[in-house]
Amino acid sequence: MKSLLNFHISNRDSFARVVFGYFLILLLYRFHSSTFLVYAYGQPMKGPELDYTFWLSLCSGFPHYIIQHYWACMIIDFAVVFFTIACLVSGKYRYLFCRLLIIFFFIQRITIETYACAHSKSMSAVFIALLPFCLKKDRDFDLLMEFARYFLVFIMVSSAYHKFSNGLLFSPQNFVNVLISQHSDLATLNPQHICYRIASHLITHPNLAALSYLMLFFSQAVFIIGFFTRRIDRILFLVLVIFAVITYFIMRIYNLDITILGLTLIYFSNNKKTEV
Amino acid sequence: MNRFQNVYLVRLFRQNKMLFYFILIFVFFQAYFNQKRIHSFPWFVWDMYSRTQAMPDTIIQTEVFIDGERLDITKIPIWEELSILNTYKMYNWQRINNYNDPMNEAVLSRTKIFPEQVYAFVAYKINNHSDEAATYPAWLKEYLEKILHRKIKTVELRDVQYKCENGEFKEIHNSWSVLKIE
Repeated sequence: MKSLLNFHISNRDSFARVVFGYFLILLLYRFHSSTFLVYAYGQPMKGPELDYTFWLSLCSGFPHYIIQHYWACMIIDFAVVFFTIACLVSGKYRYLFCRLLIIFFFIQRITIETYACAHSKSMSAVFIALLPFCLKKDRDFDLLMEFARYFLVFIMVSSAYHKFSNGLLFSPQNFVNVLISQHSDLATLNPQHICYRIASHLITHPNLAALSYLMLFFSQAVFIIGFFTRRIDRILFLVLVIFAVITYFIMRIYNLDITILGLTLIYFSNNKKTEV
Repeated sequence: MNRFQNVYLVRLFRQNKMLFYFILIFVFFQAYFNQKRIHSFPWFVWDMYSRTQAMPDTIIQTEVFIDGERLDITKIPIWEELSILNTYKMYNWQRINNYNDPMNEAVLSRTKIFPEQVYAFVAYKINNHSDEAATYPAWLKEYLEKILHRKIKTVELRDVQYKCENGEFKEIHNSWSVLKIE
């Protein structure tokens, strides 16, 4: 455990390599899952939901134009990969490459999520994690990194707060209902799936389900400490990773996007003073 | 005053005013969307699985049949599963509503303070249209061929109804074909 918490990211450059290396792995996974524009090319149905940014983007016309043109899909996909690699290898012009990466990644995500009629909310975390690298000065980079860290702490605490304020912590049956609804596809099509086997065990043991929901709540609520001190940032990072892994096995949802924002916890725990 | 000099926003204001205002605006909208519970990128309202969930009596599961064989969509990557099911749901939603996009209600509500031309423009851009929906079946077949890496002759999407009893789903032999592509 001690060695797990004892890894070092010594400066902005090595930290950038970790972030963009991880981002590249996420991109490879996306490519494997056909989450690139070339796969969605020609899709006619759009689903912007109520998201104002998606609405504004659709009104501007770029998602419609891109999805209708194969070469545009190719260029956007290629640019995202190219600028990610550029950010990974270049130190001097990283801030410029990162600005371009954010623009192309924004275009790619808005288009693909509009036309897949599926919004991955955690994508916001990726953008906030990349934002500090767009700044040239170290001082500004640190200030924005600090903001990114606070943003992570806020979303975790806010999620815990919603669970508490809706009274779900005291409603043992609720998580069972969530699991049943979440896994209806696995229950009917593939009950042998590991996620369903775990969920099924929880469904048949409501007290255990309630306990795991409480643990889920505490693993988010503990981030409130992050508002007051950076002393336990490494532990919070570990909690975040465990949270991401466990939510996959119990809920079959990917929270790997959020863990990229979690890297801000590592940056500050290595470099900066611990008091907020 | 010294007590507050280490507070993040105070330091930010002193060191970079432009960044300070940028973050202040971000925080304002984050609070606004949190209050409204609307997710609007890049603001993050994370309240999934944080609301009361009722137990459904029945559910409708969409099943995909390729060349007569049922595709286990849980075995393909989750994004591919979402792309198939969500776009199909959108297509079916339009079909059921006689190709009048139900999203139009939201467009009307959000543009009511603007002139009629603004509504017409936004509705054209946001709503799905019947001519677009007509090309969906061909796209779906092509998409399935791409992700499954094989030529496909027929695709059928059936909605199957299941009854939920004690946390288990039982088929009640009520299914109907919604889309058949040959």
